[in-house]
Amino acid sequence: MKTYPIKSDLSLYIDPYQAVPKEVITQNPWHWDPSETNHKDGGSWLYRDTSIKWFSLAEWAVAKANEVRVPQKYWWWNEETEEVMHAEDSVNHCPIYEQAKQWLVENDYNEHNTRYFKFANEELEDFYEPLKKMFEDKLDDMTMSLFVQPPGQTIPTHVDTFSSYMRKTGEYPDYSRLRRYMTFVSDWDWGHYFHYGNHVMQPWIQGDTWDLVPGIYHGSANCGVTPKITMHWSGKLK
Amino acid sequence: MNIYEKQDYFQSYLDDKKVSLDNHYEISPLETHVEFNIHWSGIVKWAEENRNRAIFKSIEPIRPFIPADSMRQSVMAMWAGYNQHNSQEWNWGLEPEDNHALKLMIGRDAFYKLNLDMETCMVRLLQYNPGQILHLHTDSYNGFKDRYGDGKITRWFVAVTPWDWGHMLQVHDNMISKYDSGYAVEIKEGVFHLSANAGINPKYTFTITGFIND
Repeated sequence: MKTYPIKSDLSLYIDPYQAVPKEVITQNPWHWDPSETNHKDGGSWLYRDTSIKWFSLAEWAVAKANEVRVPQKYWWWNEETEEVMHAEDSVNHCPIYEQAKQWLVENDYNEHNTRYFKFANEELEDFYEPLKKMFEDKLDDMTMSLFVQPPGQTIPTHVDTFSSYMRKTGEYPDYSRLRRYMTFVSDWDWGHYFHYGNHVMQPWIQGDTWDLVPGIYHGSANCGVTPKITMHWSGKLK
Repeated sequence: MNIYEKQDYFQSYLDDKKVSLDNHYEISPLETHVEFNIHWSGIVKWAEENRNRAIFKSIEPIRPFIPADSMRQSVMAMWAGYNQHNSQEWNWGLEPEDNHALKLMIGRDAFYKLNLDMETCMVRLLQYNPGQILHLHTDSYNGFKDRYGDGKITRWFVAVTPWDWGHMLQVHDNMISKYDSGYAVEIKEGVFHLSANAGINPKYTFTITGFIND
């Protein structure tokens, strides 16, 4: 492969804080220091769920990914229109925009290293109802997504800005009420990586469920050899 | 065989070798900390000034000088999903004068602490930019052996830039993060490991390969 020019000038340090919507920072104060050791970033583990047959869901998800073959979701920069794209959707009007520009313009994330399969809501077929039951008492306007992240792919570090929720409801998010929960569908394996602020989650067991409290910088990658599968619930706290 | 099968190609290879994450690999005796002769930002600055001397590479199995087992690991990694877009590495130190310059920046005290023969050591400065991964593999020290022959050889990972969000090194079942500049861990021959940058700032590290002092 021949190398190619970078999109913007290099800087010694890119400060993520500058790209996070001010409402998120104001409503959810956080330390914003990777060297901070006195933190509670790992304190929002909820429980290990056994109400779902997680291995069956993992097998179902892998089979669906094999059927679809082409990951539906990926991030890229449209050079021509200067738009941040999430698959075929421009997110220039969404609160994730500045963070995504740090990935795609100031760095070299692209459609080749950010791919994942996404199965949402009714697409979850027989698993839809039991998965919905897990958090329907806690969340209004709930959306559910299952991600299958193939080896070699990254979801770059970010603060959740709930763009999908915004698309669904047409409302600008009220970050003081929005919430996301996550369950690991597959057991931890080689190279499966999830950092939540300064806490690195490892090893995990299928069913491990986290309250992803807003405003904490986090990201994940699959640097291993088997798919990493996670389930996400988003909505407004009742 | 399909890459999205739970039990894939690479997993079968690990099973054949009886390599399992269920068996804990104790890493604490292999960890230490070294002080460089200069601040880490000076090393990054040197890299930037000498970028034209660096090797830029990505996963590539067609390298006849590497052993068959390493070649097999690369091919399996490509089959699993690694490609020229998610495995890019900038690498300084191949040229003898660069190797020498890097040794001076690291400093004699650090080599002494790592118990390595500084004169024959091979130092490589690696830059992994965000989104880039060094896939699961073992080291063979083959390049070193070709130059200096066999002996008591080892390799150290030494962090140049302090840990930032998304930076990681996994050595067997140990996920290593939140380290300072100068954090060092010995990566023994045959131990499976990998590293990645899922953040937004570059990750610079040294690998130092050399003869262990008696």
